[in-house]
Parts: sequence; C-alpha cells; structure tokens
Amino acid sequence: MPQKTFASSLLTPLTGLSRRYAPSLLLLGLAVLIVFVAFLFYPIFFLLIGALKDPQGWTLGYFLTLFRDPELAEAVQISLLLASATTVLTLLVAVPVAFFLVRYRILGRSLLSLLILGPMILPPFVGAIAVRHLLARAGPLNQVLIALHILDPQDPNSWISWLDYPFWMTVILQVLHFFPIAYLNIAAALSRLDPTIEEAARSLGASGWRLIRTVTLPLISPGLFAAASLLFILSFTDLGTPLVLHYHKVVSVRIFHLVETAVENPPGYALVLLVMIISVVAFLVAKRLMERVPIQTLPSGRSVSDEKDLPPALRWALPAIVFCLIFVSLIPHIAVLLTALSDRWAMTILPDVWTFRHFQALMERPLTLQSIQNSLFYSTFSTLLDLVLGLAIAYLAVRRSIPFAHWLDSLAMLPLAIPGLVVAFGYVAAFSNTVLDPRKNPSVLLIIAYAIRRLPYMVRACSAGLRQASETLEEASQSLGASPLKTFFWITLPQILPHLIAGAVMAFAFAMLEVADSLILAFDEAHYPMTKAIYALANRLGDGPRIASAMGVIGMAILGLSLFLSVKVSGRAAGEAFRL
Amino acid sequence: MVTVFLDRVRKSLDGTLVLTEVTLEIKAGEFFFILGPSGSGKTTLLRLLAGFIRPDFGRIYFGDRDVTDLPPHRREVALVFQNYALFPHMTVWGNVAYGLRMRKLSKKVIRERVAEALELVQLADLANRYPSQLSGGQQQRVALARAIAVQPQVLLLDEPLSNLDVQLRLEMRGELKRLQRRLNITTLFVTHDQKEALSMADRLAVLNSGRILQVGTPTELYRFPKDPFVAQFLGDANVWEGTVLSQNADGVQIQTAVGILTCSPPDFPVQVGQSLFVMVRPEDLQVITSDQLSSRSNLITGSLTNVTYLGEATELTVQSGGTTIKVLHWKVWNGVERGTLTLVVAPKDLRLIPPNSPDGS
Repeated sequence: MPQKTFASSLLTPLTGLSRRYAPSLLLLGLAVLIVFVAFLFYPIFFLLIGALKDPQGWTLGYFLTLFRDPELAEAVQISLLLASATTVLTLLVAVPVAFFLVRYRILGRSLLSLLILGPMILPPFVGAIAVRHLLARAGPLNQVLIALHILDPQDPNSWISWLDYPFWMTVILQVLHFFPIAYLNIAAALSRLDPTIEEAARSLGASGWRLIRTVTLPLISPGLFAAASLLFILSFTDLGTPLVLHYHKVVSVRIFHLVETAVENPPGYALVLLVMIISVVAFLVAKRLMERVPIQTLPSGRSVSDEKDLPPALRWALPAIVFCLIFVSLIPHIAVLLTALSDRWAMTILPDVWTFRHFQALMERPLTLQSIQNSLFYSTFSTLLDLVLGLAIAYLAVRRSIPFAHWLDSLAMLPLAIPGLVVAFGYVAAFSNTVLDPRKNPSVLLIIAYAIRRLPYMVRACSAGLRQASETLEEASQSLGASPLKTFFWITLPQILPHLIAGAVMAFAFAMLEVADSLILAFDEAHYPMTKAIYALANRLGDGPRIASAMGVIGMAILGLSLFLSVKVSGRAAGEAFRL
Repeated sequence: MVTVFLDRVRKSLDGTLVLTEVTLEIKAGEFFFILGPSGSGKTTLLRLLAGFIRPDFGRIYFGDRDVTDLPPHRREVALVFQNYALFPHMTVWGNVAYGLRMRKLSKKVIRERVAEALELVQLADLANRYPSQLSGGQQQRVALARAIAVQPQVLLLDEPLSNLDVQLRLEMRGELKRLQRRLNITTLFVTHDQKEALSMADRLAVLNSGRILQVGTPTELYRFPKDPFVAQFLGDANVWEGTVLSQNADGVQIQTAVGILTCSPPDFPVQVGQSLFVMVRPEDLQVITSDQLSSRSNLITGSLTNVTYLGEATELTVQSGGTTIKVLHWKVWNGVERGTLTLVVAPKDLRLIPPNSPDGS
C-alpha cells in the first residue's frame, strides 16, 4: 500500500536517528536550536521582511533610499573609514608589541603582559565621558600644553578644540581600548609558531626583515586576519564612544536614534541590515583568508623557548616604550578615576578639589543604586543561561553526539559576525507589542542578548575544557554503572570546572559592562542597567558626568577583579578570555 | 559467572569494516584472551562488549540475556583501561567506591566491598591517596580493584599491562591469573603480546583483519596452528609453501623450497599435488654435525648468515633454497660464524597448514 510505505519511509530515518543517538541529547540540541531561531534568526528575519516589503508588495526601495539619502550614505562611509582607520592603527601598534613581548627576553615582561590588558576593564564609552572633560577647551590637556609653553595662556582663542575632531578622537579611544585584543590574538599566533620553521628559513639564508616578511608574517596571518575582522566589526558597530563624543555622523549612532523614534521603520531596518551585511562580509572574508594558511601545530614534546636577548641599546628603551604605550592607553581610566574623585577640575592639570561625594551619591540616588541591582540581576541570569547554552553546544559538538552538532557550534560563533547593535535593534522591532516588549520590561531580552553576545567565548571555553577532559574516564564511569547524566555530573563536570568558572566570571563581567544591548533595549529608568545609567548620567548637567565616572570606577573594579579571579581559578593566561 | 556469546557480530567504523562476522563463545568463569596485532579489531570487539558501540549486525549475549542494545551502564561489565582511566579528582577509595555508589548500595556495604577489593590488590593502606600520587603499578591495581569491586558479570581488560615496565609486567601476570582464578569472573583480556596470552589464558582467540582465525588453548594454538598467520603471530615460526608429493601411513612427503620433507599425517585429508604450508618452530630445528648425517631424513642444508646471542639460547639465521630459516640453538653456540650448516627436524614437529585457511591466504 502506497500510504504505508510513505509513512514508514518517513519514520525510518526518525527511528534510525533515535537508535543511533540518545533521544535526550537530540532534544537538547533541538532546544538550543530553538533559542537561536527565536532570538537570533527571527529578529533578523523580521527586519529583513520589514525592509523588503511596503504596502504595495515586495520592494528593494528601502535599500535604494539608503544610498540616495546623502546623509545615510555619508554615515556608512564615515563608519567604514572609522573602522578601517581603527583596525589599521590598532594592528600597527599591536603587532610590534606582540612581537617583542613574545620573542624577546624583556625586563618585567610578565608585569607588562598583565598591564597590557588594563584598557579592557572599561567600556570605551565610559572612558570617553572622562576624556571629553580631558579634551575640553579649558580642560587638562590644553593646560598641559600651556604648561609646556606650546599654547598661550593669555589667548584662549589659540587653545585647541579637540572635540571638533570627533572622528580622530573616536579612532584614538578605540585604538587604545582595542589594541590589547589584537595583541592577545597575535601573541597567541606567534607563540604557536613552530620555531623550527624559522630556524629552517634562517639556515637557508633568510634573516631580519626578510625572514619576518617571507616566513613569520605569512604563518601568523591567520591570527592577524582574526584580529582584524574582530577589530573592524567592533569599531564599525561601536555605539558608546561616538555617542558620548556627540559624533552623530556614524551609522551606529544613527541607528540608536532610530530606535528612539519609531517602532515600525522600514528604512531603519534596511540600514541595520546593511550594517549586518558589512559585518558578516568582513567576518567571512577574514575567515576565508585565515583558511588559506594551513594551521601550524607545534610538534609535540618541543616547547617554544626561542626567546632572544635584546641588543643592549634597547634593553631599557623597549620596555619603557611599551610601558609608555600602556600608560597612554590607561589615560581614559585615570581620567575616569580623577573625574569621579574630584569636585572641580578646570584650568588645572590635576583636579584641585577632591571628594568622595560622588561615590556616596551612587548609594543614595535611586537611579544608580537600582541600575547596579539591575545589572547584577541581568548578568547573573545571563551568565547562567550562557553556561547552559555554552555547555550544551560544546558537549554536543565535541562529543559529536548528535548529527547537527557542528552546525550548532558554527551558529554559536555567529554573534562574532552579527553586531550586538543589529540584534538589539532586531529585538526592539520584532518583540514590540509582544510579552517580551522591551519598552515594558527589557529584562528577559537583556538577559538573552547578553548571553548570546558572550556565547562564542563561552562555547570556546567549554569546548577547550571538554577536549582536555578524557573521554576514557567517561567510558570508565559508564562501564561502572553510571548513567550518561550521572557520568556528566560526577566525572565530566569536575574536570571542566575551572574552564567553566573562568568562562562564567568573564561572561558575568562583560554582561555588567555591555553597551549596545543595554543602551538600545532599556527604555525606562527602572530597568536601566549600569551602562545605560552611566550614559544617562553623563548627559545630565551638574554632577552627572562625575557620578557617571564614579559608576565607571565601580565597573572597572568589577571587571578587573573578575579578570583576576578568572586567571586565578583557571590558571590560564588572562588573555585566553578574549581570544578566539 | 556467565557465558559470553557473540553471534555473527559485524561492525564498521567510518566506512571500513573492522569486524567481519565474529562468532565467539567464552565459557563461564573462563580467562579468555583476544590476541591480535594493532588494527586487528580487538579494541572494537572489547568496546562492543562494553557497550560503547553497537554492532551493525549480530547479537551479543551474556548468559541468556541479550545485551546488544543495552547501554554500558546497564551491562554489568567492568572494564580496565589501558591507561587505567582513574578519576583524578577522587581518592583511591573514591575510585573504587564509585561503581558501588552508582549501584546505590548502602554505605556499610560500600565500605566493606571497597575494603575487600583494596585488600585483594594489596592497596588497603593507600586508600586516601590520589591517583597522581601513585606509581604506574599501583594505579594499575586501583583500576583492577575498581573493576572487581562492582562484582561484574564480565570483566574486560584492555591491554592492562602494556604501560608497566618489564619486571612489573611479569609479576602482574601471575597476580592477575591468581586473582581471576579466585574471583571466578568471566574475563576477557585483550592484548597484542603473545607471551602474555600464552602464559595466562585458559583459551584464546587470534584476531586479524577483523576475523577470528583460530580459537583454542595456548598449547593447541602454538602446537597446531591452522593458519600461517596464527603460526607466525604466536612465537617465531618458519613457514614454507609446499606441494604434496605422496602420502602413506608414516606421513606425507612435501616438496618445499628447502627440500623434500616428511611430515606426520595431519588431522585433515590431503591429496597428492595439493599445495599447502609447512610450519616448524625454530626450537624444533636441530643443527647436526656431518658424522650424524647419513642416518637421518628431513635434512635441510643451508648457509649460516648470522648468529645472535640471546642469553639462554642462540638464534641462528640460515639461508636455504632462497628462504630464510630461523633456528633456536639451546646450547652455547661454539660453531662457525659463517659457512654451510645442516639442520634436521623430526616429522612430528613439522606442522601442515591447509591453504584454504579462514583468512584466504
């Protein structure tokens, strides 16, 4: 009978699946998939449909207006330029630093390689709040220049209005903030390099710059491309820095203002999608370039101890230069700290009136206290969600226990390519007027958005743990009578716990200081997370920026402490939390 | 105590056939060995029995229980891994108690059985150590204690001695054998070390390319191999191709590369003109001096090309009829280093191996 054969032909693969794979794991994979579909694909799909449809039917009109509107076209152009400038400059700073710190025996290297992570403990836009003050016409920077007799103290007209150059100010702040990320990726690539290859090249007559150009750089190019794509996307979609510097010409800020204006906004959808497409293309191009170079692995049993001594002239100079660089990159942090601790800071290089008042204000104002509570709440749950998702994906992918596991793994990497800005905007568009409406209560969406943002790193951390965890131990446990679930809790979990804790601490810290999702998804003060509260305060007159800075200090303390804890617990190099 | 029965078990991994129709019966309480070179499929066989993988075809029975589709934790087997797979985050005690805890036994019973198992392997005083604080031999014993503590129906051992040094390995052989006798658990031991198999096994199966070539006691397999591979894998063997010239009540005359040899009648029928293999162990070849020559048959003349001193014996390498012959000389070799040599072998020490052996060679 034809019906019977049809029915059985449908059932055969299903029963086959459940015979080969544990049904509970299939269900787990399916659940993870549903999360992706609901909170990554659906919002983007919603934007796509919105951008391609007008009352008359399907259209490309909204995309075309993007290019016809000179302001929008300019915004895209500026953002692309900004991202390119930031990427190139960051790499120019990071590559030499990584090279010297990895390859040479440098005085105080362990201290330097720890300090170099400093810039990352503060979202760049918080730094920008204080830097805005630093760069004011009557601000400390011009005062320094006056003290150095470069500017004339009597003639305010000669003083430089730094903030009239928001493009370069944004680039500089981004470079200072991002160069540790680039440094970590490149340093990792360099230390993975098999030293015998360079030795071979040297024995064949290559040396110096020729050796670097023909052998070293090509071999670390995967790390370079990875860093470049990461930087480009981060810079291209950075919302906080230009927003605080009042640089409204960039795409991210325009998108931010779009959210505030309208719920339904097809041209806005098109703009957001364009941003996403550019980011995804950047990601894919980098990925393709990375794959052109076969992965180098160190021959086992040989450790990299290829450190060279510096020539005497550079033995002191080089660490000093790196230290200066780190100091410059920490200026925003110092500025935040000084702003938070000062009452008056004008016409002088350092503040002249010091106070703890702003920290006290943090505890007294409902907005600040509430926002800290909110952030703790959101971050705790997003970390838990991250742990569950990350662990599930890593387990399924590493143990290959279900057929579409490698897919899930690739899906988990998507947040690297799809900017937070895009996802957050998609949430506002797609979930308005539903139970999840962020205008009513953004808690659920914020928790999910934070979790998804940090998911690639969490999956990496969990996979690394699982790869090191011995599968034989799991088999031993099962053959001793433990069910797969018991085996997971008794044997697998204890082995990967350090990785999990390290991953979780970092997920928590980054959720506390996440910018784009927080700024876009939180609409009313009662639900503001810390970063949005900082932003809101920074724009208030009076003590606003100072209280915002005080909150920034709290944020720095949280992230700094988390980084420290994560290193302590996992015993891994601090950098691994930021590396891919 | 159960019998283990594999019924036409077939398994492919990543598209290559690893086991072809393995049928095997292991008797209750038997110390059974699977012997095979690496890549022969012996680990796959073990993992099938443990339940980590399922056969593509065929069934597996423990007693009259069909366990083919049972997950590992419900099979009542215990596995001792090659690298021991001790849980690094648990003490020796915790490791041994693990399987008992999973069986939800009472605290009292667990304490008793852990103590008993540790006593058996003489590790009672190390119960509170962690695996990383133990020597290789001690870890090995913990792995064993952990496996026997759960009183499994079947004990599986995956080359458990291969990571030990020579001295310890020899000691453990005796100890394992005594322990197995005492516990009387049906035990399957997988190894590529023929000495291990010959010295410990009640019975063994030789596995090659996913096929079981022969099953039997160590003596049977060593003395009466039914396959050239078995002959060569169990100790050294000289194997020649030959053609049957004639046969009578005294034996069979075979034409080989080293001359005409007379063998005792085999346990299978042969025909004149049939081609088959002739096998002789190096220790069954004797070197004779020229004055003993005339009275003997089954003489092989060749030239000595190498003398290797082994300590208790000397190995001679002899070239004859285009083949290389190994001879084990049990006395100190006082003869020449090079030159012509005559060997003799008794008809009863020449083994005939049928050509259409299971693996087709």
